[in-house]
Amino acid sequence: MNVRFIHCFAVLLLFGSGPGFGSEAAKKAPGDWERELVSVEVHRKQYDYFQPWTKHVQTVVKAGLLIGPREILTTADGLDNRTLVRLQKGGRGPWWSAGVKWADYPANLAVVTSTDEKFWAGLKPATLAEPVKKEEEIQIIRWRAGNLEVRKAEFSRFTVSHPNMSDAVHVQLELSSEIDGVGWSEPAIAGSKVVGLVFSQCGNQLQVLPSPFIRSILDAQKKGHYKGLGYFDFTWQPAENPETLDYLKLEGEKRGVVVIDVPDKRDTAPVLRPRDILLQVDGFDVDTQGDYVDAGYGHLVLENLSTRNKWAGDPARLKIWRDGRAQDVVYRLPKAEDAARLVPDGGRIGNDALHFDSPTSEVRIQRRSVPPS
Amino acid sequence: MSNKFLCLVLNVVLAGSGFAAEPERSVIQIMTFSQQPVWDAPWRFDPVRRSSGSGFVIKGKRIMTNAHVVSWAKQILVHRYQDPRPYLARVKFIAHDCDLALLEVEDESFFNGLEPLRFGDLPKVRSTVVTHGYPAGGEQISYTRGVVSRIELQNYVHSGNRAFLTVQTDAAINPGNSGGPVVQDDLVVGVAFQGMPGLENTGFFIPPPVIHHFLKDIEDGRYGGFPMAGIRVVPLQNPAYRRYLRLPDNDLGARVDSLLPIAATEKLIQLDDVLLRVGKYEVASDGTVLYEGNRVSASAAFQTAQRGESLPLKVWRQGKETDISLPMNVYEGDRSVGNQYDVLPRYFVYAGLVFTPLSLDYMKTLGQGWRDVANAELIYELYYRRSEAPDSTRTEPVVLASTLAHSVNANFKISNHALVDKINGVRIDKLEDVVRSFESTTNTHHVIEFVPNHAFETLNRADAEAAQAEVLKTYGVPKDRRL
Repeated sequence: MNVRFIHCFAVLLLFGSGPGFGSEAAKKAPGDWERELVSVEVHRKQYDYFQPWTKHVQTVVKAGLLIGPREILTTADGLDNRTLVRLQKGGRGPWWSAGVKWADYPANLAVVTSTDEKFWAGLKPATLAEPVKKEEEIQIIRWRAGNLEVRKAEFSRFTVSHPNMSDAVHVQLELSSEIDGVGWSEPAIAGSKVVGLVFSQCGNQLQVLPSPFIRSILDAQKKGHYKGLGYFDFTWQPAENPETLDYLKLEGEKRGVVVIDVPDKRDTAPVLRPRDILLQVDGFDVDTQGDYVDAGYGHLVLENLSTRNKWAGDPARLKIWRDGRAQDVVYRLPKAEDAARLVPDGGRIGNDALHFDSPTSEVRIQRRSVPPS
Repeated sequence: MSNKFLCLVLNVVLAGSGFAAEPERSVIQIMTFSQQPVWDAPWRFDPVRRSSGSGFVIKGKRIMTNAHVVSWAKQILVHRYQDPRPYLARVKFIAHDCDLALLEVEDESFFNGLEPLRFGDLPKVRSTVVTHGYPAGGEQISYTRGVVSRIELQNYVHSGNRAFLTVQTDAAINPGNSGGPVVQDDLVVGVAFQGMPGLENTGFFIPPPVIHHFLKDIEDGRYGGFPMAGIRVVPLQNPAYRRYLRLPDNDLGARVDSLLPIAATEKLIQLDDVLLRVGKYEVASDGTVLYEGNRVSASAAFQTAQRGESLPLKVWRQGKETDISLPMNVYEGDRSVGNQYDVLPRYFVYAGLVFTPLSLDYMKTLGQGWRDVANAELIYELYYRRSEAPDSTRTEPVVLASTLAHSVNANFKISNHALVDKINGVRIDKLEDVVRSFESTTNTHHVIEFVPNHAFETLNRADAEAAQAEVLKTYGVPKDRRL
């Protein structure tokens, strides 16, 4: 898709119906987030791979954001092998039984819902920023001991990496903050909008799923286009050595990267071959370091073009240099599979026995318990 | 003397021990000035190192010590007991596998008045032994006493990939004792050689069977080394497996699990053979033999043979006993995974690219934690491919050890320590292939391919050839190759 990222979504993901869905002020007080931010409690099993019949129980409490009618957005991390999911609003009070509507581990995103009408009363959806601006004041928010904690964060950079749950790679926002103990889907906010969800922390560095990336997936889910993240399964190397490009007889300006390894596929002949020079992906020029210029993020490594508004099975238009001339080829993105550690247990119990992980499945949740209110 | 596990001498209070021959007079202090090569810049040497160790006089006007005391020696000085005069010595025989060496002294008057020490038998566990030597902490000879704690096969750290019979004692271990004699009843029953960091009261010495094997080996004027059968056995105590192999229900026999690529062994021994006897030693179901009252690995029985000899084996095969005469020879196939000595590392420098064979010594240039920082391909190639994928094993895997920066290679993005796959289309099986592939091509570009993923770099051939002399001069490389 050759459309710039920030222009792809003219329509916000927010929903026009219901109270509180109207336009907001450019900036709001941190306390205003109390109606958008909820807690997601996940009870899960952890496997002992040395004694596979042994299952340890773990409970994690994550942050969740209301993004639409009966939809709480959170990261997928920690939702595998779950036995019970509950929601809490306002940072205190009762827990409401819930289920996972869908979880996508390669993208590290999930939507949680509840059939209990009372839970949704008084909540209002958050707005995802589009695009993320480097110069904005960013804060991290989370519920802590019944109070909303707000901590300052600073923009560091955009990177492209994978969130450790598949081979898929995508753009990430790196923030610097003094806050500790985050990485469980805490929202990063700028003014009245959410710029991302924190999914990892290393010292003062926070890794954040940026809101445009989140929005692209939510939007595709809504339209039924989402087929999971894809990735480039070939291996390339930079072409900063001009002799290499001379050896491969590239004409004109030095550019592109060199494909060095292409996996064998039984069913289809590979589109790329070793020693092809990859010049463009979906119209984006690739430089000799393997970067392209993204309108939303600046210089990013070309891998991001495998997840930039594209899904598994989608075509990517590649321009390559082969046999002494430029050629256009169409590359189908293979589907990024879940990491091995996420292989589910066959004996899943609890609410999710109702197959909530399928985005197309109907949501049917039985409330298991109602905490005293 | 290296900083490995250093040897010590057990002290002894001689009161009442009645050393009529005063064995301490035959214990020698050895000063070694050594230089080791730099394995990732193989034309260079580390600074000269001064170290000290111990030794003792044996018959034939020779001094026995450890190989690691005199390895890479540029000069060896020996001192007699309480004699300030240094004498020049040189290595006559050195056995890196079993960490023993014999020195001779240029001035034979050195031996005047010195009684050669005689060797005893393998000491008994719990018996008392005394070590003599010149450990750190003072100038004079030192004695320590301890008991024999246990006897079994241990890895010999000097070679790094060989295990031989070893005696453990509770004597304290200090650097400088290496090579000193361990004495019992006026007879030498061992050569102190290594300790184990982190353990207290634990020292090790080389026992007489290993020493005698070394001395017998050199009778022909050269040291050949301990032969290897190349047979790996595993315990065979599972009753079901024993019944499957129709073995008697007793405690004898260990199953052959894998073989090294040694022609005689591969011809005569089969997987799933059950090893019942090696020489005069019965092999127990846990893979051990009873060696002079000590239960040790069956490898000790194989090590009784000299190279070129044949060792009688009894194996259980297809439901009956079979006698085999197995020729025993020295195995060199795992040389690269042990510490190497005496032979300077091979290399070839071309356009600033330094190529050298992959070896344990090279890997250690990555630092103490090299196992953590080395890439998986190097580890696999060095340790596992030979057994896991013998058909694709290279005779001598070659790495790009380092890059001497020059404009001709300035844009290289391949990191050093990469395993070389092909150069100009030629599969690199050994270092000579690197030279041949660079020097035989007439293409405009050299193409160097690496493992894994077929990553490659290119050099303009004309530029590379023009740069060669300048690179060598700039970095002080005396010759572009040592093959």
